[in-house]
Amino acid sequence: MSIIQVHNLHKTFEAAVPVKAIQGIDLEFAQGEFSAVVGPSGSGKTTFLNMIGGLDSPTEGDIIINDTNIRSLSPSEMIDFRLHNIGFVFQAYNLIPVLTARENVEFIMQLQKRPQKECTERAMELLEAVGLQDRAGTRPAKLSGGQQQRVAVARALASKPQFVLADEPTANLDTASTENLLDIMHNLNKKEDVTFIFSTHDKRVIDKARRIVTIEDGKVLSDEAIKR
Amino acid sequence: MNVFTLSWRNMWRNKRRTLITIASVSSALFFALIMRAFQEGTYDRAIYNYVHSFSGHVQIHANGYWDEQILEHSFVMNDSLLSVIEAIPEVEKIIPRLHSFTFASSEYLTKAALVMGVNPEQDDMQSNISNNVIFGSFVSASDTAVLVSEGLAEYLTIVRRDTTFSETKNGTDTLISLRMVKDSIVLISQGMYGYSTNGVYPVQGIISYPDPEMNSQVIYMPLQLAQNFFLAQNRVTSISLILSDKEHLNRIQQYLQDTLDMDVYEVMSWQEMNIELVQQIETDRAGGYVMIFILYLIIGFGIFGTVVMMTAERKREFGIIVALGMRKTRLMYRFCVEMVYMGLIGVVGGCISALPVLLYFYYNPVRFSGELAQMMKNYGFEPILPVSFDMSLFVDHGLIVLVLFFVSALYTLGTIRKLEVIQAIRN
Repeated sequence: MSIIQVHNLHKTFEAAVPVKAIQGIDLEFAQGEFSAVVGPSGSGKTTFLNMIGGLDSPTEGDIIINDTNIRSLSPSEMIDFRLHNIGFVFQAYNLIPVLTARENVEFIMQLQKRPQKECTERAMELLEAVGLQDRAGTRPAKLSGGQQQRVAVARALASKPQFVLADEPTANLDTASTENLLDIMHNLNKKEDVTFIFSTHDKRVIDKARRIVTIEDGKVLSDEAIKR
Repeated sequence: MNVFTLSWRNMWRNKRRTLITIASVSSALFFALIMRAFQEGTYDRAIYNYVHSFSGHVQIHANGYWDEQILEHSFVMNDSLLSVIEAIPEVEKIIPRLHSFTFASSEYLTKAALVMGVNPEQDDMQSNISNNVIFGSFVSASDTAVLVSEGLAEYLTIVRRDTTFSETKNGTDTLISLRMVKDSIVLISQGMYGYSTNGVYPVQGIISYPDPEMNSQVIYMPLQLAQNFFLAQNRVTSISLILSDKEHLNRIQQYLQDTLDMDVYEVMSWQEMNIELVQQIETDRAGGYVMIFILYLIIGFGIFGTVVMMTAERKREFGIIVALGMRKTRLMYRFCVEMVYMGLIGVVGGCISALPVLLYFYYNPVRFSGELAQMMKNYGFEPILPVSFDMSLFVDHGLIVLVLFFVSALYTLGTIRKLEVIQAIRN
């Protein structure tokens, strides 16, 4: 069952010479997918992820997530929609520096106004899943890059989203950390049945993906399912 | 984590910058409080001296007295008038006075002087004026002697003597020192209904008035003696009312104006009777406000600079937080809490640092001497630098600082409102 439907998506950045970043993409993503959107730099994959994450608006076309056309949402409704439906993992981790690992994970749930006890239990459960239960009280500055990105993954899953968008999540990580992170996300994808969509050109990520969507010049070049 | 804890931690994200900002705010508040407390203290003192030694907060005269201060505009203090005044609970003291002008002579010198006929005991109870007697002794209601103000006594070269004599008590000789005034003063004036009047009065003491103008011209006389001198038996020129709190002044003045027959009486506040003092205070206060404005302007730009830096540093984080699902209004609220924290710490720091200084000078006011003292006297102020310990100063300036923080925070609030998440994340 498709949870994300993208129809005739276009994005043009206004400039002296307008830049057509996305040119008519039609795609669907199903529940539980572990997909990679790949392509060279400037191909439009980050723009595509930003739009399905509701961070950027398309020039034309529709994005329907669980029967909600997100183009029809007001800015405030969009923020609430993201909070309850979408998890984000950023390239630069982007944890809140004044919060500990556990508090960073709890943060999203607190925005959802869940009881504190539930927030703490879920945060610890997720930190255990990413292997950081013993670093729960540590602030991001004292964590390695790989550890910070694992906390970011835990944070992305904390709100029990429909899907997680990960924009180049391994770009700043060494090989060992990348392998470790991908294993964790793979396990969580299976365990929590959360859809993961990556934008990447990291071969190590592509090798783990079960679906690879290749974008070039803002158009889908190929879309293949891989059996692993 | 609640917004207060998060804001508190955010505030200390850059400890050095936060401490510098707080220190600058505290210093500004410290200087502002000290400056304003000294200013207001000087004004309060001048007002207190005027009100307690002369005018009272409110004064009742016969109608027309203030425009033409002659004895024919005096009045008899009758029971019906007294009953109206005594029925006002906020009236602490009722002081009848007979004021008129006279020529005062001593040997070869004559000077115009103001006779203040007053009940000495009653006056002393509310103003402790007997403490101002610097030579000789205070008078009582039944005395036939007078006190002469310091400046007038100097002009008239009234003789003061320190006398030492021995007294034998129970067979033991004891040396006794006395500060005495061995002189008399001749007064020549016009009494009621144009009669000329004169008299010779022993000078029992020299009295120092804080108000320089009064200090140069007053002859302090028991009320009955003054009434006799001016041939104005049972009459007074004014009734001064001292109130328990000056805040009641306008209301009570209005009440008296509504209650008394305004064809017979006039009711005036001290401000109406001493417009010069009010104007001097307002002019001086305006100068102070300019200084405070410049001080806060500098500090305001300092705070604004900090806020701009904080905003620039955290723009990306703001974008991330909004991307994750925090509403912009909540983010704004969180930032405001940070600003309030920083402002409050600055305010508390400033108040705490100013407090001991103000307390010290409140109990040990600076007394000027020499040219500076003379200059202050010329401006009509007592040459003393007292401190006002009014809590409203702390509250007002604390609020000003908080407003500065809030106004500076508007920059960040505007930035958050217009925040483009994608651009912020790419920042």
